[in-house]
Amino acid sequence: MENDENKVTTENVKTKSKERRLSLVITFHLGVLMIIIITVSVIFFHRRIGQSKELLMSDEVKRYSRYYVMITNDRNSNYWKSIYQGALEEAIENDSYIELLGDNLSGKYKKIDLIRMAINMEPDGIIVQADDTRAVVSLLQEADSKGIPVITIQEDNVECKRKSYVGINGYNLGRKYANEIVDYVKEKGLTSCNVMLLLDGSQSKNNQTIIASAFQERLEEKHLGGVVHVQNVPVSNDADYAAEEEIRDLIVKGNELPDVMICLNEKNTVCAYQTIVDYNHVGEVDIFGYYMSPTIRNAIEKGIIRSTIVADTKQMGKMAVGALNEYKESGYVSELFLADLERVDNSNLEPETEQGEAQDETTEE
Amino acid sequence: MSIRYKISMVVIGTLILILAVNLILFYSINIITRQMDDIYVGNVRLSELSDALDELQIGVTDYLNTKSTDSLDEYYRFQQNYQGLLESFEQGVTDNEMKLLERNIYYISQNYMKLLDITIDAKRGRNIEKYKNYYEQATRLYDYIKDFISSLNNRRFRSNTASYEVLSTAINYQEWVSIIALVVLAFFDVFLVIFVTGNITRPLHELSTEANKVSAGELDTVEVVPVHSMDEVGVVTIAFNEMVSSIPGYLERLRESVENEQLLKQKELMMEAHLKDAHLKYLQAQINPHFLFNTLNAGAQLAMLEKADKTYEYVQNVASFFRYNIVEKDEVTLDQEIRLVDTYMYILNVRFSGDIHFSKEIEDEKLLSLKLPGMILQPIVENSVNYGIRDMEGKGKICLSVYKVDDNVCISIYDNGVGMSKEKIEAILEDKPMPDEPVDVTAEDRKKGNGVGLRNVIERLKLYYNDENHFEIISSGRNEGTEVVITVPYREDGYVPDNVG
Repeated sequence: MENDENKVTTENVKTKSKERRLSLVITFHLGVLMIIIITVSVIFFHRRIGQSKELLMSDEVKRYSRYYVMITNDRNSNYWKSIYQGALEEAIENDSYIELLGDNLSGKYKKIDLIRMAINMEPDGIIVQADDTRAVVSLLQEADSKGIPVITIQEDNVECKRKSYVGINGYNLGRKYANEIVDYVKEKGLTSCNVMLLLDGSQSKNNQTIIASAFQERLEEKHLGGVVHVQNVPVSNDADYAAEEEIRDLIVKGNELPDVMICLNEKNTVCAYQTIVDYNHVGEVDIFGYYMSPTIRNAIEKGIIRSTIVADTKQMGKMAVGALNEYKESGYVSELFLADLERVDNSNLEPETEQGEAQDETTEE
Repeated sequence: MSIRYKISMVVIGTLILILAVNLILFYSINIITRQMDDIYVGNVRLSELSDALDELQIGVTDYLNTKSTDSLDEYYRFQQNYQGLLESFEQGVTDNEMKLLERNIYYISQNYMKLLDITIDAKRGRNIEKYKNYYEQATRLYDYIKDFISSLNNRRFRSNTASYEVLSTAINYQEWVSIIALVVLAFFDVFLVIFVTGNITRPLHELSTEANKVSAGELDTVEVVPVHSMDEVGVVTIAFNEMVSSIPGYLERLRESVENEQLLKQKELMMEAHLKDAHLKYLQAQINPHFLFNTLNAGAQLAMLEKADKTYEYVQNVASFFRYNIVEKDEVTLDQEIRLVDTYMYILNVRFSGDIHFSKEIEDEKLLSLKLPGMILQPIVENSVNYGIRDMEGKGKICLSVYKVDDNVCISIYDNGVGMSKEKIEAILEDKPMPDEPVDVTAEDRKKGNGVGLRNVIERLKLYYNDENHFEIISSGRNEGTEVVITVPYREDGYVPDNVG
């Protein structure tokens, strides 16, 4: 009896000590768990608050001493984006900041409105794609009179008292395209070739004329004046969808399909390519384009666009900002900066970069 | 640490813990709430600016329409208000789109206000063409500014929305984290309290278990209760352990004292019983001693009147013999006892015409003051007469001698009678049946005999001296006589053993 009781007591003691140990272990683990939860939650909240503050942009921002404004006809195109990118890089390197005006605004503004805004924003310089309209010229003159230096880019107008022009050499461009046609005619052994030269309607007529005459001149030099029949078609780029509609009309409603279409800007190149594909004229019409974008690259790979002339857009942007900085620092600047041009076809198509843009460093003149 | 301190610590500790966790959670929520407030401050500011711009434009239009002084005052007030709101706008060049928009709003607004001023000047100068032109330009700038503000507002709203979403998810998580943290905290507290109170009550439980055993009398199974801490329970436990360890000693002592007491009581009762027994026997034997004594006194007086001296002496002796028995005394001196024996022997010698020779040898008169229980010697002498001398042939002798051996006094009664066999001596000393006695004779019957039996004497001596070896019967065998020796301890002041009540 007594032994049994002793056993029972011993077992009781054992059970109790087990319970005690268990409760100690549970208490310890719960304590650790609680500390972890609270620590994690505090860290989590601090991160979230930081993230939220970052989103509110209440954190430190980088400050610059100069502020430039860039105004273009078609700021959404890859061409102009690339130019702006180059300009921005150059600006930041030189303690300046450049804004592609209109990007941040909800309203749609014409160039003259943007220029007017820019003047009232009192920047340290304006980089603008000029044209030969009176309003633009007078506004740019007003800017100059208010001490805001103006640099024209891509399109020039000497009347607007710009300090410098940054662009491509229209003459060289025309000759480059002519060379392409010469090679094309030779390669195909054609006796007659209809060439449709799609001029950029938003550009100054002056520039267009230079390109067209240089083109014609080169053909004459190569004695292809009789073989190649050039039709200059200005394509309007001012209104939305205008270019696409006009090019579609040219192909669909035109009496005769051209053998070759030469496009002088990125938008026209893409529109022409898309229309050819949409209306099943692949192989009937060959395209010589301008600039490089993922779509154009794709078309070159497919052989629908035979080749494209690529201007070094980043270089243009850099040159424009460089010119402004130079003017601001010295009061003088060279009147002309020309960007490099490169011909790209299937043979020298570089592997696609992240932005699908053309190469930075080009040569050849 | 006292129990009160421990319990207070647990309660205060858990309370502080709960408070701390709640404060942390509350603090997190507070931060989020403040951040949420911040989100829309920018939008509110822009709305105010937009309203101020509208007022300004309307103010100018009013003035141009009415050219009133009031509208001019209003205009200046609006302009001041607008300028004031503009002051908080960023004016430097940054790479932050919104700050850049703020800068542009600021500069266009400055130009806009300049234009308004010259518009008003032109109006005052009544140059209609000029003020119309300026007003147009100003209105164009007003439209630009409105668009800039709305663009900035949209942009801000977009970033606010993203920020709000982040905070909103944070709040969602916070809800869960709070619930989980509080639940875990509650469980933690419960287990902590269980653990700590367990630690406090465990020693109590152990103590109560062992105390129950003590109260149930299971002292053998009681274990030493371990002391876990020196709180109140620890102190009680130590005292309990000491108590438990000392209880068996107390019990043993108690048992011994009770036993002793019982023994004493028993002895006392027996002494009393034996004395009573002896007296009873006398009473039974002598009918009414008082009556007899008085009668004998009357007889003695009669004998004296008749000048019968021998008869007088005889009756006187008989009377004193009975008187001795009447006087109830537990303790008498040896002298008194010897005198009784003298009286007895005188009576017997008268009865048996001087056949018995009785002699006394007292070594020292001092020894006569020795105290001993009454009615000791006479029964022995009577026994010697009845069994030793009566049936013998020739002259019987009885010799009583008192002498000292070491610290003891020996009282010897010797007779030259028939003697006793060893079996008989043994039977007397151990209260067994006599060898020649019929089997049905009981101890009670044996005690009756003549007067007070030897057995009674032995028992009383034993009780009086609390020892067995005071009574000795020596006999070499048939016709060799018998000697009864009583050995008692001697002290000059008269010895009385402690244990005699």
